[in-house]
Amino acid sequence: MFFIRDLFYIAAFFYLLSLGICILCRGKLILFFRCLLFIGLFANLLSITGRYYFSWPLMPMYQVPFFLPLVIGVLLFKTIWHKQAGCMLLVCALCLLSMAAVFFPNDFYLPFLESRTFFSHLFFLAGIVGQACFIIAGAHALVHIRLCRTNSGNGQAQKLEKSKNRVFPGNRIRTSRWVVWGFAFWTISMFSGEIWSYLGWGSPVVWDDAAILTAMATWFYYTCFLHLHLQKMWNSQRQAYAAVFGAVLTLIFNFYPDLGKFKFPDLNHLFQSLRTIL
Amino acid sequence: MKKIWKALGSIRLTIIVLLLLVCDLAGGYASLRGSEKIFKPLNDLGLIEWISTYGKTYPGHTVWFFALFVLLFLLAVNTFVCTTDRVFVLIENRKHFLNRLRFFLKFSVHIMHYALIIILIGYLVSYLYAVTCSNMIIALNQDSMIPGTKIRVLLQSIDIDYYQGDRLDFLNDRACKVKADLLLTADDKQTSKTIGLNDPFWFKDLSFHLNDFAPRYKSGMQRQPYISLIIKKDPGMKLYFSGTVFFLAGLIMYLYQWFLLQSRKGEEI
Repeated sequence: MFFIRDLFYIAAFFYLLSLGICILCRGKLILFFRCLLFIGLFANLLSITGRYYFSWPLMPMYQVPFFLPLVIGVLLFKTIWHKQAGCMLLVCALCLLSMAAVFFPNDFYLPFLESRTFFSHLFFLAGIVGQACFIIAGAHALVHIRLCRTNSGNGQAQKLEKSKNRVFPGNRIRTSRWVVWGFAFWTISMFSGEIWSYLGWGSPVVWDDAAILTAMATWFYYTCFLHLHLQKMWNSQRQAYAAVFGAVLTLIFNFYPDLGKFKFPDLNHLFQSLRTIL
Repeated sequence: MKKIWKALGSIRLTIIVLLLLVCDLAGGYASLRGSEKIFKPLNDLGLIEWISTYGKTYPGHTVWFFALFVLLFLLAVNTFVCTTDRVFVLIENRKHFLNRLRFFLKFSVHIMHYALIIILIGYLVSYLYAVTCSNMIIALNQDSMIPGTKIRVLLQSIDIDYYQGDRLDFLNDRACKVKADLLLTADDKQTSKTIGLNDPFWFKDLSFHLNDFAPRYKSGMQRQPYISLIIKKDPGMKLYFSGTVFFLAGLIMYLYQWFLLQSRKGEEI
């Protein structure tokens, strides 16, 4: 188990390094940035594979913070790899999420026997993908807001018109696409939870865990978002703000409850493991 | 009448209700954390009895639940009115669709809306009319009568697999899989059923779920083998699961329409 945690420390470290390269050497050392990020993602993948391996066929408990950076990284691999608009923001998000998992781990809970079903795993994994999609949508929306502000702040009306056609709709469409995918996965997760709950306890809603309410709140928020979007009831700016707010809400409602108390990472064990390997 | 119908189907009402639901559920989360014991009996007692006992006794903790109830009712009415209006408009304009598939896929959103109403009705029926026996303990070879029925149940055997290995350290010598064979007798007819964790069975409108069992440990003090069952008669179950299936079908149709048809033309969703 500690080796799995060590791997995650390594992943977080490489995410941080890649962010440093991204900030310090804008446009340069792309290959180096890619290598660092790839190592980070690979270490994260090994870490979560280990977590699943050591709990299978049961569902790993409170592991969302360890899975989320990898899922975001994989879903946005192309954007980050080619350093497209919003790349730095996304790498920054990866770092923050992984740091939260490193310093506030909650992975001490043992899996429970009732989680031995296909639906519990679908509930868990689809939920993570859903959360990742909502956060990515928020990141794209933030890029959209920043571009709008930069151009309108410079008073470059013509440029704004041009970029509206070129960059802004791109980010807007991306935002809504990620929200649709996020909504689909979130719905699948909630329905899987409903089936699991029925199979295990005979009721579609189990009131043992308050997290069910925040999951429902997230679902209703994005239902509202999609209604406003599909009815074309707002402009792109408002939509972008709503997507950013949704991402923050997703983090507070679903990511934060999976975090534990502050704990300084056990670096001694990491160094011992590295020494043994080397 | 028309004005009321229009107001009830307004999209603005949808948005307001949805946002209020988000706020209410956020408040509910804060209230439910640490006071789960107030809401746990809701599944066993049913809504009416729960309201008259726990609901009234702890109003500070349960007020969000009553607000949720009202908001969900409003949402269901609003969804029904709004969707019905749009379905009629869509059917009236069916001649404008050259492609039948496209016309059919246009119903995806409406299917999801109606499915949500079915799910909500299913939950309501379940919480109003479900009968639950929440903890029926049956020892090995013991024959028991299910309360409120004429069904007898006998635990014939219980087969527990204990984990032996290095991979799952925490599970060593602990039960990892359980199967119990039950003999049910109703109207002088006998039926054999097998039950496991997350593996219920259905018999004469009743669903049987394995809640607990013993012995859970291979070593240490040995307990007498028994199982604890949750037995439930839930008339809402078929409704909310059919609603779930419809919702998923609508969602798949919507994604298909959006992903395959619209993205080809580069349209914005």
